[in-house]
Amino acid sequence: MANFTRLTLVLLFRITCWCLVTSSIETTNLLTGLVVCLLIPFGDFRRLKMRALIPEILLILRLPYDMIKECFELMLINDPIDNFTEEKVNIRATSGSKFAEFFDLFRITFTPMSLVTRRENSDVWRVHLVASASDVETKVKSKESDK
Amino acid sequence: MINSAIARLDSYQYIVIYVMLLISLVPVLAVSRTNSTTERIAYASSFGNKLAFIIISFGIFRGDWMIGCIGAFILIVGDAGMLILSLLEMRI
Amino acid sequence: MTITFVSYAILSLGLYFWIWGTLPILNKEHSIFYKLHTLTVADSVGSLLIVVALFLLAPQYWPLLLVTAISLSLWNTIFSYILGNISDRPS
Repeated sequence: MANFTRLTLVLLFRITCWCLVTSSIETTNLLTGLVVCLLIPFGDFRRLKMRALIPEILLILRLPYDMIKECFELMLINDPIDNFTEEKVNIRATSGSKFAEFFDLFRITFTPMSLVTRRENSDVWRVHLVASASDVETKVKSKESDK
Repeated sequence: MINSAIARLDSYQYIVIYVMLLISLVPVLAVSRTNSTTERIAYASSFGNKLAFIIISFGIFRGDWMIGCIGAFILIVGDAGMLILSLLEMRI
Repeated sequence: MTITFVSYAILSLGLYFWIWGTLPILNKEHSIFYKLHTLTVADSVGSLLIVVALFLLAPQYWPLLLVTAISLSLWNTIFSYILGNISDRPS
């Protein structure tokens, strides 16, 4: 039963894509789309984990706000230098779902301020951020004065 | 049948198209100024992206579905080609 | 009339992002990572703003614009990840 639900979801997704690309929902077009969707190989849809996927898709909804905010943050930096940090991979992505992993990477890389460059090990992304050179200098100086 | 009233663009639409064209010349200049292959791929893909957007916005200003379709086509296919080129660069 | 005005305002914001994001690639002092960030500003955010403006201008073209927006964001994200991966390779 669970497999049947997964199959239906995959088919629905493909038919939605077909209708978007052809931009019509006439009966003949839908039938052609159904044939095309059934002809494309299905892959291993049995490993689809909807539980892990739904929160990831919901998290995408707050991307537009982050996008615009980080754009203006990036514009305010006048003297950029490289700054590599490490970020934890989302707990849903580490549980073995390929799609959740992809969505995690997508969310980090899509915003202008952060860029995933590598996967350090199984649960850490290596992320590149832009820092302002003057900010970093003041931080170093304050640390020295603390000592 | 194309109505001639649709085909005419407003003056600010012309300004938008020409500003886009001028911006899209910057990546061409940048490609000629660098030697690194990675940077060249990045600038070339940026150029393709901008050109596709000029075509899409021109099609929509003109009210012509077909020109917009061509623009979307160029965007998808051009970026896919650049992606495969960068994958090749990653393998080397 | 208001919608036309709002759409042209968003269009000019998108064009401003294009200009701001594209001009730093001529500067040889910046690293490639900073250039990738500014190209993200130009090619993803600026282009998505232009798509939104065009949607407000001509809502009957929504399938075309939706396909454009989805493919644009997917391609550009994967592309900048791959280019970052190439440049950050330990040598």
